[in-house]
Amino acid sequence: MKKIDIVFTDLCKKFGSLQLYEGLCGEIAAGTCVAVLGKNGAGKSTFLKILAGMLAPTAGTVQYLAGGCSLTRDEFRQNTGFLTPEVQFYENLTAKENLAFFTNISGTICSAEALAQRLSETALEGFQDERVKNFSTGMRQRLKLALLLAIERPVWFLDEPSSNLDAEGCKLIGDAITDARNAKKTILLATNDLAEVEYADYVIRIA
Amino acid sequence: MPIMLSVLPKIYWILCKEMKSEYRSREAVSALLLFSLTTLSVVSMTIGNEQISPAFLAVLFWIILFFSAMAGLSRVFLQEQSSGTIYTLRLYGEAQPVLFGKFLYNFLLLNLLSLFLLPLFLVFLNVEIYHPGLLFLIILAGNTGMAMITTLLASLLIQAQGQGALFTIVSFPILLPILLFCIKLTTVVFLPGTVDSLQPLAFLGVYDLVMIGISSILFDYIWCD
Amino acid sequence: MNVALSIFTVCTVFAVFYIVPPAEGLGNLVRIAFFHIPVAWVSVLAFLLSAWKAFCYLRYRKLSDDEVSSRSAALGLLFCFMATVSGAIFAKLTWGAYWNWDPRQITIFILLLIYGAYFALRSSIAEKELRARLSAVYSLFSCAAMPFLVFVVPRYYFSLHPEPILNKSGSFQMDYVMAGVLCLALLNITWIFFRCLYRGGKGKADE
Repeated sequence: MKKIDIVFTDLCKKFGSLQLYEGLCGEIAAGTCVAVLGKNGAGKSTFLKILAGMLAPTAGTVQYLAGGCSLTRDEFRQNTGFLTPEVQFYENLTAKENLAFFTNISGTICSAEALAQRLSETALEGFQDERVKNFSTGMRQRLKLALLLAIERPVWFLDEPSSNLDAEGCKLIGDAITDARNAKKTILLATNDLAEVEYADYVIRIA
Repeated sequence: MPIMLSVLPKIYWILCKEMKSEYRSREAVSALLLFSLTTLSVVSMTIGNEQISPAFLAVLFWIILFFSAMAGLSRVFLQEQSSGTIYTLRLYGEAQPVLFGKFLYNFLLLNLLSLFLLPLFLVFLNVEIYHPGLLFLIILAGNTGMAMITTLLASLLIQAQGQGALFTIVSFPILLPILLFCIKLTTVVFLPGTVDSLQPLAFLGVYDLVMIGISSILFDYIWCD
Repeated sequence: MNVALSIFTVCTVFAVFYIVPPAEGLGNLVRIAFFHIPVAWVSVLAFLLSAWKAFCYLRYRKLSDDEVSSRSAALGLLFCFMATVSGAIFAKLTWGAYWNWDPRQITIFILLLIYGAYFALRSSIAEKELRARLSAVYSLFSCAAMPFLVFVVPRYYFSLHPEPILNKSGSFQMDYVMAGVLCLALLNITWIFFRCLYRGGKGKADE
């Protein structure tokens, strides 16, 4: 498991005249689970995207350190997995085809059995050959979890992972996070759900 | 070598995904084929039995291909954006495989259209093709250039407003050399007698290679922030 | 600086109208060429400068490079337009038609289209950095296409244009006086271009 620390200094983000935050500094050590809390619109998702290298901050830097040497943003991105609302699947492809596509283009070689296993872990085994356009929002959320598990990356970015899920789905998320923590993955979790905060080692609160 | 090996399967996966998606919805293909059929029928009906000059035939062929390209080839990126999958593709897909996978898809689409158009030309407009081998080469070269340029420019417009018209405005100047060369070469194909110079074909090939090279370099700047 | 430029311009205009003798075949109309040729050259120069600054922007990500790139393109569009109009007038007076798709006319027309497309693209993107990045890419892309449009395409079409001044053997075909005044006009127009380009820029550079 690659150990990557994320260090951010003087982060500032502005959207036009709307200032979200400034002067944020901190470090997320490898293997920790961090919850990011804040009101709606405080900038939790934006913060996660900046740390993930998907969005450039208005000011400040984000560094990725692995074993003492610095990783470029592209190298870091090859080690990240996402479960965020922006993740969408191809409507005309089946669940299995979507998983196979994304795992293959991300460089993870997964056999058909392994993918079927992921789908059954997320209670989607009956829907492997069903096109995603027929999926409910809860099922799509579970498919996102299946993808996250399939690509096996050491750093996870989760943004409201339990949204749209029933009690059983929330339990799946909880189990997945617990397994990931045991495997010493680095997890960043943006949430408003206090139950999810329980999984975190420590909390960043954005006011 | 190891880097090449990991890129080729990804290109293959993206190409397969595009073809599978298209096969299930058939949006682009039907739009392109119907567009070319209607255009050709209108011309044929109005021309009647009059003989058309080889130059005009060449122009007609490439105009239809060009406007079909404008109508259908930007979908590779713009549809990803409208369906929301562009974000996921950005998260997990690298720049070069995405570019070349989609380029190959557009290339195949254009070749399919050419394959459809050519027999119709023979039937509706009573055309004589004197140098089929040369025509084959011209179509391949022209389609390569058009596919690459339209793929790159479609990716430029992902976050722009007013994408439809903008795509034509932005593509036309860069596609013009291809159009001009292909029309000039295709005119020769419809004329009997030997072909005197294949230099335009060589220039077309060079232009295609330059465009492929520069697209590959520039796409990284479009794809990654 | 402005005074020197104005004096220089007056001298050049004087030279064009009084020093240069009428050319054989073209007569007094050749004087339009002393405006048309420099303006056409400068529009290509502006294009190349714009592409160079675009390359600098992509390399160093300084928004000032993007500023210069777009201002150069704007001036280039203006000069290109003037070249097209002066060329059309010259064509009407010498060959009887304003426009007949002469290869040089094709080239200048395409340059106009490229400029137009560049500004259409810029105006469709609101965010500054994104706009800078994408228009820089387009600028470089069209720059790669330029050699074919300027050198290759015209060779394959019949030309009404007077033979290029420096023909293949490299010897001058113009009378030395005309050549001298042409160089003068070239320098003048180039100076005017750079003066306009950096007029607004100087103020910003001082800040």
